[in-house]
Amino acid sequence: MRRAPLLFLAPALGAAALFGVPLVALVLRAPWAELGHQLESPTARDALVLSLVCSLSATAISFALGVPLAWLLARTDFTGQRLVRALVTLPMVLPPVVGGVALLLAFGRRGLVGEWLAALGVTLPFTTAGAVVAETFVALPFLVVSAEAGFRQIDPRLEEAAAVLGARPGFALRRVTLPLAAPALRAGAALCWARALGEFGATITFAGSFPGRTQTLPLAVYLALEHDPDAAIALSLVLLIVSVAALVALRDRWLGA
Amino acid sequence: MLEAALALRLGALELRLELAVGSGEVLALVGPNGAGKTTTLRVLAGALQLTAGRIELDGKVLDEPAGGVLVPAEERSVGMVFQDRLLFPHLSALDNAAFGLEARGQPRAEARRRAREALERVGAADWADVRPGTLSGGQAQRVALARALVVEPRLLLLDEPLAAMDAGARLELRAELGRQLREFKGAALLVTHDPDDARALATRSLRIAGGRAES
Repeated sequence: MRRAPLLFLAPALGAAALFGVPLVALVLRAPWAELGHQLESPTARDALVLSLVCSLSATAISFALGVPLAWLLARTDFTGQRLVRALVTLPMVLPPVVGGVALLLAFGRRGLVGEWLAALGVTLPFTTAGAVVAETFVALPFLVVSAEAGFRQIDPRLEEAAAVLGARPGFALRRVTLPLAAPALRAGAALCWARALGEFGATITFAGSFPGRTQTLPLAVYLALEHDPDAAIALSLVLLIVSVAALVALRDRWLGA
Repeated sequence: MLEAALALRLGALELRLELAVGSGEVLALVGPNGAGKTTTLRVLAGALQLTAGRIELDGKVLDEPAGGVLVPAEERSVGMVFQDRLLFPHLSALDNAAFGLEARGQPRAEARRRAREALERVGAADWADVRPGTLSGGQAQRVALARALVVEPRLLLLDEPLAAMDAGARLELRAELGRQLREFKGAALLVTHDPDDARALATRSLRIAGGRAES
Protein backbone atom coordinates (compact mmCIF):
# COMPACT_ATOMS: atom_id res chain seq x y z
CA MET A 1 0.00 0.00 0.00
CA ARG A 2 1.54 3.34 -1.00
CA ARG A 3 1.00 6.67 0.71
CA ALA A 4 -1.51 9.00 -0.91
CA PRO A 5 0.18 11.75 -2.94
CA LEU A 6 -0.95 15.24 -1.96
CA LEU A 7 -1.99 16.04 -5.52
CA PHE A 8 -4.72 13.38 -5.32
CA LEU A 9 -5.51 13.71 -1.67
CA ALA A 10 -7.03 17.20 -1.84
CA PRO A 11 -9.62 16.50 -4.58
CA ALA A 12 -10.42 13.12 -3.04
CA LEU A 13 -11.08 14.77 0.33
CA GLY A 14 -13.22 17.33 -1.45
CA ALA A 15 -15.31 14.58 -3.02
CA ALA A 16 -15.67 12.76 0.27
CA ALA A 17 -16.71 16.01 1.96
CA LEU A 18 -19.29 16.70 -0.71
CA PHE A 19 -21.04 13.47 0.22
CA GLY A 20 -20.18 13.40 3.87
CA VAL A 21 -20.98 16.92 5.08
CA PRO A 22 -24.65 16.97 3.98
CA LEU A 23 -25.23 13.58 5.58
CA VAL A 24 -23.62 14.74 8.81
CA ALA A 25 -25.74 17.90 8.69
CA LEU A 26 -28.88 15.85 8.20
CA VAL A 27 -28.08 13.63 11.14
CA LEU A 28 -26.97 16.54 13.39
CA ARG A 29 -29.97 18.71 12.63
CA ALA A 30 -32.49 15.92 12.97
CA PRO A 31 -35.09 16.63 15.67
CA TRP A 32 -34.17 13.47 17.54
CA ALA A 33 -36.23 14.35 20.63
CA GLU A 34 -39.48 14.59 18.73
CA LEU A 35 -38.66 12.16 15.93
CA GLY A 36 -41.28 9.67 17.04
CA HIS A 37 -43.84 12.42 17.29
CA GLN A 38 -42.97 13.69 13.80
CA LEU A 39 -43.27 10.26 12.23
CA GLU A 40 -46.62 9.65 13.90
CA SER A 41 -48.28 12.63 12.23
CA PRO A 42 -51.00 11.58 9.79
CA THR A 43 -49.17 13.14 6.84
CA ALA A 44 -45.98 11.23 7.61
CA ARG A 45 -47.79 7.96 8.24
CA ASP A 46 -49.83 8.26 5.05
CA ALA A 47 -46.75 9.07 3.01
CA LEU A 48 -44.78 6.23 4.58
CA VAL A 49 -47.50 3.64 3.98
CA LEU A 50 -48.16 4.91 0.46
CA SER A 51 -44.45 4.85 -0.34
CA LEU A 52 -44.14 1.26 0.84
CA VAL A 53 -47.21 0.15 -1.12
CA CYS A 54 -46.15 1.95 -4.32
CA SER A 55 -42.48 0.98 -4.22
CA LEU A 56 -43.18 -2.67 -3.41
CA SER A 57 -45.84 -2.81 -6.16
CA ALA A 58 -43.41 -1.22 -8.61
CA THR A 59 -40.74 -3.77 -7.61
CA ALA A 60 -43.17 -6.68 -8.03
CA ILE A 61 -44.24 -5.45 -11.48
CA SER A 62 -40.63 -4.81 -12.45
CA PHE A 63 -39.74 -8.34 -11.38
CA ALA A 64 -42.62 -9.93 -13.29
CA LEU A 65 -41.89 -7.98 -16.48
CA GLY A 66 -38.17 -7.44 -16.12
CA VAL A 67 -36.89 -10.96 -15.41
CA PRO A 68 -38.35 -12.48 -18.62
CA LEU A 69 -37.12 -9.48 -20.60
CA ALA A 70 -33.64 -9.78 -19.08
CA TRP A 71 -33.59 -13.48 -19.96
CA LEU A 72 -34.55 -12.74 -23.57
CA LEU A 73 -31.84 -10.08 -23.78
CA ALA A 74 -29.22 -12.40 -22.32
CA ARG A 75 -30.07 -15.67 -23.99
CA THR A 76 -31.65 -15.00 -27.39
CA ASP A 77 -31.06 -12.99 -30.53
CA PHE A 78 -33.96 -11.14 -32.04
CA THR A 79 -34.22 -8.25 -34.43
CA GLY A 80 -34.45 -4.96 -32.61
CA GLN A 81 -32.72 -6.37 -29.54
CA ARG A 82 -30.28 -3.47 -29.36
CA LEU A 83 -33.16 -1.02 -29.65
CA VAL A 84 -35.06 -2.76 -26.86
CA ARG A 85 -31.97 -2.74 -24.62
CA ALA A 86 -31.43 0.96 -25.33
CA LEU A 87 -35.10 1.72 -24.59
CA VAL A 88 -35.04 -0.19 -21.34
CA THR A 89 -31.89 1.46 -20.05
CA LEU A 90 -32.84 4.97 -21.19
CA PRO A 91 -34.77 5.82 -17.99
CA MET A 92 -31.51 5.41 -16.05
CA VAL A 93 -30.16 8.55 -17.70
CA LEU A 94 -33.39 10.32 -18.66
CA PRO A 95 -34.39 13.15 -16.29
CA PRO A 96 -37.31 11.65 -14.35
CA VAL A 97 -39.46 14.73 -14.97
CA VAL A 98 -39.15 14.06 -18.70
CA GLY A 99 -40.27 10.51 -18.02
CA GLY A 100 -43.29 11.94 -16.21
CA VAL A 101 -44.16 14.21 -19.14
CA ALA A 102 -43.80 11.29 -21.55
CA LEU A 103 -46.02 9.13 -19.35
CA LEU A 104 -48.67 11.90 -19.37
CA LEU A 105 -48.51 12.11 -23.15
CA ALA A 106 -48.92 8.34 -23.37
CA PHE A 107 -51.36 7.51 -20.59
CA GLY A 108 -52.88 10.91 -19.82
CA ARG A 109 -56.55 11.62 -20.43
CA ARG A 110 -55.79 12.82 -23.96
CA GLY A 111 -52.70 10.65 -24.33
CA LEU A 112 -51.71 8.25 -27.06
CA VAL A 113 -53.28 5.25 -25.32
CA GLY A 114 -54.89 7.15 -22.45
CA GLU A 115 -58.16 7.57 -24.36
CA TRP A 116 -58.37 3.82 -24.92
CA LEU A 117 -57.64 3.19 -21.27
CA ALA A 118 -60.29 5.73 -20.28
CA ALA A 119 -62.80 3.91 -22.49
CA LEU A 120 -61.97 0.76 -20.53
CA GLY A 121 -62.49 2.69 -17.31
CA VAL A 122 -58.80 2.80 -16.39
CA THR A 123 -57.38 6.13 -15.23
CA LEU A 124 -53.68 6.33 -14.46
CA PRO A 125 -52.65 9.99 -14.14
CA PHE A 126 -53.04 11.45 -10.66
CA THR A 127 -53.94 8.09 -9.12
CA THR A 128 -52.04 5.68 -6.89
CA ALA A 129 -51.79 3.29 -9.85
CA GLY A 130 -50.20 6.15 -11.78
CA ALA A 131 -47.62 6.62 -9.04
CA VAL A 132 -46.81 2.91 -9.30
CA VAL A 133 -46.44 3.21 -13.09
CA ALA A 134 -44.14 6.21 -12.73
CA GLU A 135 -41.97 4.40 -10.18
CA THR A 136 -41.87 1.28 -12.35
CA PHE A 137 -40.84 3.35 -15.36
CA VAL A 138 -37.85 4.72 -13.50
CA ALA A 139 -36.88 1.64 -11.46
CA LEU A 140 -37.36 -1.22 -13.93
CA PRO A 141 -34.04 -0.62 -15.76
CA PHE A 142 -32.07 -1.32 -12.59
CA LEU A 143 -33.66 -4.74 -12.33
CA VAL A 144 -33.26 -5.57 -16.01
CA VAL A 145 -29.59 -4.57 -16.15
CA SER A 146 -28.74 -6.56 -13.02
CA ALA A 147 -30.78 -9.61 -14.05
CA GLU A 148 -29.37 -9.66 -17.57
CA ALA A 149 -25.83 -9.62 -16.18
CA GLY A 150 -26.86 -12.43 -13.84
CA PHE A 151 -28.23 -14.60 -16.65
CA ARG A 152 -25.18 -13.90 -18.82
CA GLN A 153 -22.73 -15.20 -16.27
CA ILE A 154 -24.43 -18.61 -16.19
CA ASP A 155 -22.61 -21.12 -18.39
CA PRO A 156 -25.17 -21.91 -21.12
CA ARG A 157 -23.83 -25.46 -21.21
CA LEU A 158 -25.36 -25.99 -17.75
CA GLU A 159 -28.77 -25.35 -19.29
CA GLU A 160 -27.90 -27.70 -22.14
CA ALA A 161 -26.82 -30.30 -19.57
CA ALA A 162 -30.15 -29.93 -17.79
CA ALA A 163 -32.04 -30.65 -21.03
CA VAL A 164 -29.86 -33.66 -21.86
CA LEU A 165 -30.49 -34.99 -18.33
CA GLY A 166 -34.22 -34.88 -19.00
CA ALA A 167 -35.32 -31.42 -17.87
CA ARG A 168 -38.08 -29.71 -19.81
CA PRO A 169 -37.52 -25.96 -20.31
CA GLY A 170 -39.73 -25.02 -17.34
CA PHE A 171 -37.98 -27.45 -15.02
CA ALA A 172 -34.53 -26.29 -16.15
CA LEU A 173 -35.57 -22.69 -15.58
CA ARG A 174 -36.90 -23.43 -12.09
CA ARG A 175 -34.11 -25.70 -10.92
CA VAL A 176 -31.02 -24.42 -12.73
CA THR A 177 -31.31 -21.00 -14.35
CA LEU A 178 -33.23 -19.08 -11.70
CA PRO A 179 -31.33 -20.46 -8.69
CA LEU A 180 -28.01 -19.65 -10.37
CA ALA A 181 -29.22 -16.14 -11.19
CA ALA A 182 -30.77 -15.65 -7.74
CA PRO A 183 -28.05 -13.39 -6.27
CA ALA A 184 -28.25 -11.06 -9.27
CA LEU A 185 -32.06 -11.10 -9.15
CA ARG A 186 -32.04 -10.27 -5.44
CA ALA A 187 -29.57 -7.43 -5.95
CA GLY A 188 -31.57 -6.12 -8.90
CA ALA A 189 -34.80 -6.22 -6.93
CA ALA A 190 -33.23 -4.38 -3.98
CA LEU A 191 -31.76 -1.71 -6.22
CA CYS A 192 -35.04 -1.39 -8.11
CA TRP A 193 -36.95 -1.03 -4.85
CA ALA A 194 -34.57 1.60 -3.48
CA ARG A 195 -34.87 3.59 -6.69
CA ALA A 196 -38.69 3.31 -6.67
CA LEU A 197 -38.84 4.40 -3.04
CA GLY A 198 -36.88 7.56 -3.76
CA GLU A 199 -38.68 8.42 -6.99
CA PHE A 200 -39.74 12.05 -7.19
CA GLY A 201 -39.74 13.71 -10.61
CA ALA A 202 -41.75 11.24 -12.69
CA THR A 203 -44.21 10.67 -9.86
CA ILE A 204 -45.03 14.32 -9.17
CA THR A 205 -45.34 15.03 -12.90
CA PHE A 206 -47.51 12.07 -13.79
CA ALA A 207 -49.36 11.37 -10.57
CA GLY A 208 -49.31 14.73 -8.79
CA SER A 209 -49.07 15.09 -5.04
CA PHE A 210 -52.34 14.16 -3.37
CA PRO A 211 -51.92 13.21 0.29
CA GLY A 212 -52.82 9.60 0.84
CA ARG A 213 -53.12 8.86 -2.87
CA THR A 214 -49.99 9.91 -4.69
CA GLN A 215 -47.96 11.85 -2.15
CA THR A 216 -45.10 9.46 -1.51
CA LEU A 217 -42.31 10.11 1.02
CA PRO A 218 -40.02 12.13 -1.26
CA LEU A 219 -42.92 14.37 -2.30
CA ALA A 220 -43.96 14.79 1.33
CA VAL A 221 -40.38 15.76 2.22
CA TYR A 222 -40.25 18.38 -0.50
CA LEU A 223 -43.62 19.89 0.43
CA ALA A 224 -42.97 19.81 4.17
CA LEU A 225 -39.69 21.66 3.78
CA GLU A 226 -41.52 25.00 3.33
CA HIS A 227 -43.83 24.98 6.31
CA ASP A 228 -42.46 22.29 8.63
CA PRO A 229 -38.70 21.75 8.19
CA ASP A 230 -38.47 19.40 11.18
CA ALA A 231 -40.98 17.05 9.59
CA ALA A 232 -39.03 17.19 6.32
CA ILE A 233 -35.81 16.29 8.14
CA ALA A 234 -37.48 13.45 10.01
CA LEU A 235 -38.87 11.97 6.80
CA SER A 236 -35.53 12.44 5.06
CA LEU A 237 -33.91 10.52 7.86
CA VAL A 238 -36.30 7.63 7.24
CA LEU A 239 -35.32 7.56 3.57
CA LEU A 240 -31.65 7.76 4.49
CA ILE A 241 -31.93 4.84 6.89
CA VAL A 242 -33.71 2.76 4.25
CA SER A 243 -31.02 3.58 1.69
CA VAL A 244 -28.22 2.65 4.06
CA ALA A 245 -30.03 -0.59 4.88
CA ALA A 246 -30.30 -1.40 1.17
CA LEU A 247 -26.61 -0.65 0.70
CA VAL A 248 -25.67 -2.87 3.63
CA ALA A 249 -27.84 -5.66 2.23
CA LEU A 250 -26.04 -5.37 -1.10
CA ARG A 251 -22.53 -4.79 0.27
CA ASP A 252 -21.22 -8.20 -0.72
CA ARG A 253 -22.06 -7.47 -4.29
CA TRP A 254 -20.89 -3.90 -4.72
CA LEU A 255 -18.56 -3.01 -1.94
CA GLY A 256 -16.65 -6.27 -2.01
CA ALA A 257 -16.92 -6.59 1.76
CA MET B 1 -28.91 -50.62 -30.07
CA LEU B 2 -27.94 -47.30 -31.60
CA GLU B 3 -27.99 -46.85 -35.35
CA ALA B 4 -27.10 -43.45 -36.69
CA ALA B 5 -26.21 -41.79 -39.97
CA LEU B 6 -25.13 -38.31 -38.98
CA ALA B 7 -24.83 -35.29 -41.25
CA LEU B 8 -24.54 -31.78 -39.99
CA ARG B 9 -22.55 -28.58 -40.34
CA LEU B 10 -21.35 -26.67 -37.32
CA GLY B 11 -19.09 -23.75 -38.07
CA ALA B 12 -16.07 -25.07 -39.93
CA LEU B 13 -16.91 -28.68 -39.08
CA GLU B 14 -18.77 -30.87 -41.54
CA LEU B 15 -19.78 -34.07 -39.79
CA ARG B 16 -20.59 -37.19 -41.82
CA LEU B 17 -20.55 -40.32 -39.76
CA GLU B 18 -22.26 -43.69 -39.60
CA LEU B 19 -22.47 -45.44 -36.26
CA ALA B 20 -23.90 -48.72 -35.04
CA VAL B 21 -23.47 -49.62 -31.39
CA GLY B 22 -25.18 -52.69 -29.98
CA SER B 23 -26.52 -52.99 -26.46
CA GLY B 24 -23.71 -53.86 -24.09
CA GLU B 25 -21.15 -52.54 -26.56
CA VAL B 26 -18.82 -49.62 -25.87
CA LEU B 27 -17.61 -47.75 -28.92
CA ALA B 28 -14.65 -45.43 -28.44
CA LEU B 29 -14.45 -42.36 -30.66
CA VAL B 30 -10.81 -41.44 -30.94
CA GLY B 31 -9.32 -38.50 -32.78
CA PRO B 32 -7.68 -35.11 -32.56
CA ASN B 33 -9.31 -31.91 -31.30
CA GLY B 34 -11.88 -30.55 -33.73
CA ALA B 35 -12.49 -33.98 -35.27
CA GLY B 36 -16.18 -33.81 -34.36
CA LYS B 37 -16.19 -36.14 -31.35
CA THR B 38 -18.04 -33.87 -28.94
CA THR B 39 -20.35 -32.70 -31.73
CA THR B 40 -21.27 -36.35 -32.36
CA LEU B 41 -22.23 -36.79 -28.72
CA ARG B 42 -24.18 -33.53 -28.63
CA VAL B 43 -26.23 -34.43 -31.68
CA LEU B 44 -26.97 -37.90 -30.29
CA ALA B 45 -28.04 -36.31 -26.99
CA GLY B 46 -30.29 -33.84 -28.78
CA ALA B 47 -28.40 -30.65 -27.98
CA LEU B 48 -27.83 -30.22 -31.73
CA GLN B 49 -30.00 -31.17 -34.69
CA LEU B 50 -29.09 -33.15 -37.78
CA THR B 51 -29.29 -31.43 -41.14
CA ALA B 52 -29.67 -34.83 -42.81
CA GLY B 53 -29.55 -38.48 -41.83
CA ARG B 54 -31.14 -40.35 -38.99
CA ILE B 55 -30.68 -41.39 -35.39
CA GLU B 56 -32.45 -44.50 -34.14
CA LEU B 57 -32.23 -45.89 -30.62
CA ASP B 58 -33.80 -49.28 -29.84
CA GLY B 59 -36.05 -48.97 -32.86
CA LYS B 60 -37.24 -45.46 -32.01
CA VAL B 61 -36.31 -42.66 -34.39
CA LEU B 62 -34.93 -39.67 -32.45
CA ASP B 63 -33.93 -37.34 -35.26
CA GLU B 64 -34.70 -37.60 -38.96
CA PRO B 65 -35.01 -34.26 -40.79
CA ALA B 66 -36.37 -35.91 -43.95
CA GLY B 67 -39.21 -37.45 -41.95
CA GLY B 68 -39.78 -34.36 -39.86
CA VAL B 69 -38.95 -36.28 -36.68
CA LEU B 70 -37.10 -34.62 -33.83
CA VAL B 71 -37.36 -35.93 -30.29
CA PRO B 72 -36.18 -33.16 -27.92
CA ALA B 73 -33.19 -33.87 -25.67
CA GLU B 74 -35.28 -34.19 -22.53
CA GLU B 75 -37.41 -36.99 -24.01
CA ARG B 76 -34.50 -39.17 -25.13
CA SER B 77 -33.35 -42.08 -23.03
CA VAL B 78 -29.80 -40.78 -22.98
CA GLY B 79 -27.33 -40.30 -20.15
CA MET B 80 -24.33 -38.08 -20.66
CA VAL B 81 -21.13 -37.36 -18.78
CA PHE B 82 -19.93 -34.00 -20.01
CA GLN B 83 -16.47 -32.74 -20.65
CA ASP B 84 -15.46 -30.79 -17.51
CA ARG B 85 -18.50 -32.51 -15.94
CA LEU B 86 -20.92 -29.57 -15.72
CA LEU B 87 -22.27 -30.51 -12.33
CA PHE B 88 -24.85 -28.00 -11.11
CA PRO B 89 -22.83 -25.81 -8.72
CA HIS B 90 -25.79 -24.85 -6.52
CA LEU B 91 -26.91 -28.43 -5.84
CA SER B 92 -25.36 -31.05 -3.55
CA ALA B 93 -23.87 -34.17 -5.13
CA LEU B 94 -27.03 -36.02 -4.12
CA ASP B 95 -29.34 -33.46 -5.73
CA ASN B 96 -27.15 -33.49 -8.83
CA ALA B 97 -27.56 -37.25 -9.03
CA ALA B 98 -31.30 -36.97 -8.42
CA PHE B 99 -31.76 -34.29 -11.09
CA GLY B 100 -32.65 -36.59 -14.00
CA LEU B 101 -35.19 -38.51 -11.94
CA GLU B 102 -36.88 -35.37 -10.61
CA ALA B 103 -36.89 -33.90 -14.10
CA ARG B 104 -38.79 -37.00 -15.22
CA GLY B 105 -41.40 -36.43 -12.54
CA GLN B 106 -40.21 -38.78 -9.77
CA PRO B 107 -41.22 -37.62 -6.29
CA ARG B 108 -38.33 -35.98 -4.47
CA ALA B 109 -37.93 -38.59 -1.74
CA GLU B 110 -37.90 -41.49 -4.19
CA ALA B 111 -35.53 -39.65 -6.52
CA ARG B 112 -33.10 -38.96 -3.69
CA ARG B 113 -33.26 -42.56 -2.47
CA ARG B 114 -32.35 -43.87 -5.91
CA ALA B 115 -29.74 -41.13 -6.37
CA ARG B 116 -28.06 -42.21 -3.12
CA GLU B 117 -27.92 -45.80 -4.41
CA ALA B 118 -26.43 -44.56 -7.68
CA LEU B 119 -23.78 -42.61 -5.75
CA GLU B 120 -23.02 -45.73 -3.69
CA ARG B 121 -22.56 -47.83 -6.83
CA VAL B 122 -19.86 -45.48 -8.13
CA GLY B 123 -18.25 -45.05 -4.71
CA ALA B 124 -19.36 -41.46 -4.24
CA ALA B 125 -21.82 -41.85 -1.35
CA ASP B 126 -19.48 -40.11 1.10
CA TRP B 127 -19.85 -36.77 -0.66
CA ALA B 128 -23.63 -36.89 -1.06
CA ASP B 129 -24.19 -33.64 0.84
CA VAL B 130 -21.23 -31.78 -0.61
CA ARG B 131 -21.49 -29.18 -3.34
CA PRO B 132 -19.44 -29.82 -6.49
CA GLY B 133 -17.19 -26.79 -5.93
CA THR B 134 -15.28 -28.55 -3.16
CA LEU B 135 -14.96 -31.97 -4.88
CA SER B 136 -11.74 -33.14 -6.53
CA GLY B 137 -11.77 -33.94 -10.24
CA GLY B 138 -12.15 -37.67 -9.68
CA GLN B 139 -14.88 -37.27 -7.06
CA ALA B 140 -16.83 -34.90 -9.29
CA GLN B 141 -16.51 -37.30 -12.22
CA ARG B 142 -18.02 -40.11 -10.15
CA VAL B 143 -20.95 -37.88 -9.24
CA ALA B 144 -21.38 -36.98 -12.91
CA LEU B 145 -21.36 -40.68 -13.79
CA ALA B 146 -24.00 -41.43 -11.16
CA ARG B 147 -26.09 -38.52 -12.45
CA ALA B 148 -25.97 -39.96 -15.98
CA LEU B 149 -26.63 -43.59 -14.98
CA VAL B 150 -29.40 -43.03 -12.43
CA VAL B 151 -32.15 -42.80 -15.05
CA GLU B 152 -31.04 -46.13 -16.59
CA PRO B 153 -30.62 -44.68 -20.07
CA ARG B 154 -30.57 -46.80 -23.21
CA LEU B 155 -27.60 -44.81 -24.50
CA LEU B 156 -24.67 -43.58 -22.42
CA LEU B 157 -22.40 -40.84 -23.75
CA LEU B 158 -19.05 -40.15 -22.09
CA ASP B 159 -17.11 -37.08 -23.21
CA GLU B 160 -13.44 -37.29 -22.18
CA PRO B 161 -14.33 -38.70 -18.75
CA LEU B 162 -10.68 -39.17 -17.77
CA ALA B 163 -9.22 -35.93 -19.07
CA ALA B 164 -7.61 -33.36 -16.79
CA MET B 165 -6.97 -35.72 -13.92
CA ASP B 166 -3.76 -36.63 -12.13
CA ALA B 167 -2.32 -40.07 -12.87
CA GLY B 168 -3.35 -41.87 -9.68
CA ALA B 169 -6.93 -40.68 -9.66
CA ARG B 170 -7.09 -41.37 -13.37
CA LEU B 171 -6.24 -45.08 -13.10
CA GLU B 172 -8.60 -45.53 -10.18
CA LEU B 173 -11.42 -43.83 -12.04
CA ARG B 174 -10.67 -45.81 -15.19
CA ALA B 175 -11.10 -49.04 -13.24
CA GLU B 176 -14.38 -47.77 -11.81
CA LEU B 177 -15.57 -46.69 -15.23
CA GLY B 178 -14.66 -50.13 -16.61
CA ARG B 179 -16.78 -51.83 -13.92
CA GLN B 180 -19.74 -49.55 -14.64
CA LEU B 181 -19.49 -50.03 -18.39
CA ARG B 182 -19.40 -53.83 -18.07
CA GLU B 183 -22.61 -53.70 -16.03
CA PHE B 184 -24.28 -51.20 -18.34
CA LYS B 185 -27.03 -52.78 -20.45
CA GLY B 186 -27.42 -50.15 -23.16
CA ALA B 187 -25.18 -48.83 -25.91
CA ALA B 188 -22.26 -46.63 -24.86
CA LEU B 189 -20.07 -44.14 -26.67
CA LEU B 190 -16.80 -42.99 -25.19
CA VAL B 191 -14.99 -39.97 -26.54
CA THR B 192 -11.29 -39.88 -25.77
CA HIS B 193 -8.03 -38.77 -27.31
CA ASP B 194 -6.10 -41.43 -25.39
CA PRO B 195 -5.73 -44.80 -27.20
CA ASP B 196 -4.92 -46.51 -23.87
CA ASP B 197 -8.29 -45.47 -22.44
CA ALA B 198 -10.01 -46.67 -25.59
CA ARG B 199 -8.31 -50.09 -25.32
CA ALA B 200 -9.07 -50.40 -21.61
CA LEU B 201 -12.71 -49.38 -21.73
CA ALA B 202 -14.15 -49.93 -25.19
CA THR B 203 -15.17 -53.04 -27.06
CA ARG B 204 -14.43 -51.27 -30.37
CA SER B 205 -12.71 -48.11 -31.53
CA LEU B 206 -13.44 -45.70 -34.32
CA ARG B 207 -10.90 -43.07 -35.35
CA ILE B 208 -12.41 -39.88 -36.69
CA ALA B 209 -10.82 -36.80 -38.19
CA GLY B 210 -12.35 -33.82 -39.92
CA GLY B 211 -15.83 -35.09 -39.14
CA ARG B 212 -15.37 -38.43 -40.91
CA ALA B 213 -14.39 -41.94 -39.97
CA GLU B 214 -10.87 -42.99 -40.87
CA SER B 215 -10.63 -46.47 -42.27
